Amino acid sequence: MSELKPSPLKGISDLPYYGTRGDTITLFAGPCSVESQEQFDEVAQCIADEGLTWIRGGAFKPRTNPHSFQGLGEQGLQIMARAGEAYGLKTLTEVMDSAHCPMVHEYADGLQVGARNCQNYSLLATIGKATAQSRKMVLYKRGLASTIAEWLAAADYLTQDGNDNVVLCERGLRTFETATRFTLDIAAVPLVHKQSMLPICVDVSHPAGVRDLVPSLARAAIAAGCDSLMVEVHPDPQHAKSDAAQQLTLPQFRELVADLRQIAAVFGKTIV
Amino acid sequence: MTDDKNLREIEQHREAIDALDKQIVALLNERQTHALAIRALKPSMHMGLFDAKREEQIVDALLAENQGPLYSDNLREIYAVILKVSKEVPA
Repeated sequence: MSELKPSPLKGISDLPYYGTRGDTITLFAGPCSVESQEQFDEVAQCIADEGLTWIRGGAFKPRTNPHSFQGLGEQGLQIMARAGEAYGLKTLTEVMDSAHCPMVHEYADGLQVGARNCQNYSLLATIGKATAQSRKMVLYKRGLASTIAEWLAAADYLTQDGNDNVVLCERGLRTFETATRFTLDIAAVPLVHKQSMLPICVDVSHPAGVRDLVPSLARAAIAAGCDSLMVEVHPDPQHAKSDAAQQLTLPQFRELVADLRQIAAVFGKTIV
Repeated sequence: MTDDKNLREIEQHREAIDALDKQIVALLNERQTHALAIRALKPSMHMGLFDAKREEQIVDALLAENQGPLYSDNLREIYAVILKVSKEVPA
């Protein structure tokens, strides 16, 4: 990770180049929520056909309204694990509660800390301990109002017991702007590369809020040098149980991947 | 004539502050030279520029040395800026 590979693009004289960590960009794609085996399998098939390695999905959903769909819980984890096995994909899902940590750790290949739990230090410490031996990947999202310094400092809760397999994920900030769901802080990508050795992911679906903004943000994230990307995709977004407006359809997702492979190639990287 | 006396005293303190500030600037730059040298070495050691543990150690050590009149919180605030800026200085 520390070896900087030369990019076909020339850097700017006398300025460090923060755009390159490795030669791959991991794409974490999948539906916002796991809704059924059929729904999840359909997405898994599409992702596997694209030659990608990970699928994401929510089994425990942090919903603003307690009466909104809360996720399928353990049943959702089982659906994910079955699909991961069947289609040869690694699975990534959010842990919302320390009490669920052993269960999620058992089913999933990667554990996600959501933006709303960015400052839940006891959850971070619990996940750090739970993954100390397995070194399963932890994707740690930045809070809606967390500074880079607060986020990087709190990441130590995850790594302090020995798991350095942590990916930071920028997902947009709460600002005065309402035209987007969140304001994507693209500068977080070079800043994390400058200040930390941890890789940086960009979740482009949440800041977009609507699917038509997703492709532009994804291109920008790759150009800024992200190590991984998160995109929400659903076989039938119109009827999705959460985040309907921002999820891409499967055909749109395939086109986006083709598009992003070309952008990545400019930087000497491939999308996996 | 206490006004004149007080004015002279203020002048003397200001001269002392100016002399100290000169030293502080030189010391801050010397400090930054080391910070930049560390920054150049860190990538090969697989260490990030931001190190939460080290920053806490730095502040703890200087609070232990503190004789006042600055309060611990004052020093913490001053050093938060020094540490922030030292990471922001362009390489």
